[in-house]
Amino acid sequence: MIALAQEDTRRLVAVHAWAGVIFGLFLYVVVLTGALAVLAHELGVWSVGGRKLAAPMAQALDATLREVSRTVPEEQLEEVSIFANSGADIVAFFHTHREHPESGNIEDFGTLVEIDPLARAELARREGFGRDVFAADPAGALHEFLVDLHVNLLAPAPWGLYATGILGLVMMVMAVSGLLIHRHLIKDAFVTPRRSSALLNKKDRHVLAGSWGLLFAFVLAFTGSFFSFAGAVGFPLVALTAFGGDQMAMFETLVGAPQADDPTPAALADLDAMRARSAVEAQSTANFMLISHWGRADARVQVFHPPADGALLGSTHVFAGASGEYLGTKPRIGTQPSAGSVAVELVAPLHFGNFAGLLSKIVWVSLGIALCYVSITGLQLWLERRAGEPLWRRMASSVDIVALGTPIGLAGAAYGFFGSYGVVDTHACTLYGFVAFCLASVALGIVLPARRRVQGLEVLLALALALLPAARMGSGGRSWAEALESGNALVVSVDVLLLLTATTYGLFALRRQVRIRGYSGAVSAAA
Amino acid sequence: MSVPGPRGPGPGVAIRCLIAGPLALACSVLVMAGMPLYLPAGAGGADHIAFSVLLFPLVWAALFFYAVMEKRQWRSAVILIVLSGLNAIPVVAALRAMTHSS
Repeated sequence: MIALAQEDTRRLVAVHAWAGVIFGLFLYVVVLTGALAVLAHELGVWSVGGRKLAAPMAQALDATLREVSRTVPEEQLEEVSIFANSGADIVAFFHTHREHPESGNIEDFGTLVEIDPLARAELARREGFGRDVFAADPAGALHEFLVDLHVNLLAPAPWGLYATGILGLVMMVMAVSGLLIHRHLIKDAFVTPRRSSALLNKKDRHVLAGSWGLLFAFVLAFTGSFFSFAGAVGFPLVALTAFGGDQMAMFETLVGAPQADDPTPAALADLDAMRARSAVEAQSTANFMLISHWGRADARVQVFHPPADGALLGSTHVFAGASGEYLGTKPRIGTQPSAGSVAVELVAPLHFGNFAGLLSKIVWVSLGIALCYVSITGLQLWLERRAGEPLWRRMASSVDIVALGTPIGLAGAAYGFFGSYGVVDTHACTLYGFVAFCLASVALGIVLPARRRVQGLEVLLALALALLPAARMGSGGRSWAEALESGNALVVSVDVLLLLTATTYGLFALRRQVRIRGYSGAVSAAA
Repeated sequence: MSVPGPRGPGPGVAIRCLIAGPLALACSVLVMAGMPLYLPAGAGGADHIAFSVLLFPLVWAALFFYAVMEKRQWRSAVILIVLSGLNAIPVVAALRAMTHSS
């Protein structure tokens, strides 16, 4: 409990309430998409019907990649990035850097090759600028859309990033002010919602969920605003002043002195052996590789690993490409291990909740959904107290529409994905699906009378979620039997979760129907 | 949570919003930019950079709540402006150095 003067408390309550009223709906969208984006990898795997094997990056790739390297233009051997996509195919992007004719920026340009890690055969090949060749791969469209919506709110770069960064700062204000205005935080965390009135019941539930979510909201707001501002503003600005404008000194401190340029031809050492060595060092399977100057004496290979079981942070291992000699680990910032680099690395697991596998992800998703509940109930409490004023009544309908329309829109994105997968531009259709279902929600919310609005949207959400597994299978995805047989229980789990959520919303709608009938019956009896 | 209900905007609220909003944000960006000059670089030579960026959201929150809670608005405005000015000096100096070197 923090003792504050009444005037200070009044001011903090005003800050908390007005920040919620102005930004609450945007925060709801960002937090909801963020909660789902915690499961972006799982949703990506689900969307393509499962993976053909569990650890594609652990397969032998050296011979296949070497063969492919002989078929791309030599200049594109300048840099090669290698990772596995949602369907567990290997993606290798051989590229150089050149000016994009539209943006005028220096961008990656090269050949993207998709490889089947089991058959060790090339599946597809595209040449162009990075953003174009990656966008042509439909496999990541759904989870990439979800992450983009969370990070950029569909606004163009960098404005979307700044907008979500500002929202992160607002969320921090709400979390801190929420903490300060709680007179009895411990008691509030165990409050039993009163049943004497609907308003008090909602208030108690808001306080209960808010009390448990305060620390989490602070962590999310802090790490989220760091992500939004660090890359675009923070590090460039700080590096500028730290080195007095000396860009070379800045580069040497943050990345290391550039190695001597040696274009002498030299065969690349065995990539599989380097990966095996780094796997021993990291105690986990690599998830990304970056090769610079393939085929030259100054080649460097960086192998990125996720955290080992029980560890919090991943690691990056560096090899001399020509000899295969292990050169050690590379900190995220600087060339030597430092407290600052570790602190920056800790931001990611705290934001993504991936530090203890699926368990921590489920906790993060649950707390994220609790925060969504806090956002919406906070707004509803504010609006119910002002139900007599027309402006606030109109906003009340917007809250209902956004609260249920956002998940309906996300289901629409999945329908857009399944309806277009492998047929037409899946990335565009995923966006169109989202927009179409959002517009349908808005239309339904406007057309329905106020007392039927929430019920109608709940029915639409229940139907949209219930039919998604069928849509997935209808677009060629694995059936439950096939998924289980191929070791993709995750696909079945997501389907079941969708059906359970649909059932829950269906029951909510049914309960409302009973209440509405009861009310109508009472009115008729009174008449 | 038995606290008085929030009131609508009153006199001076717009000015306080400007101080706690755009001014506090600009000030926290400049404080972040100036911080590497007084934070230790550490053994790895990068702590002053990493912590400056990491602390930015906390600096913003501190300045925001100070601007909201300070009873004398003029004092919060003066402190934030002075803080911004002091931390803007290394930014301007670095930009001038870059301009001269190019």
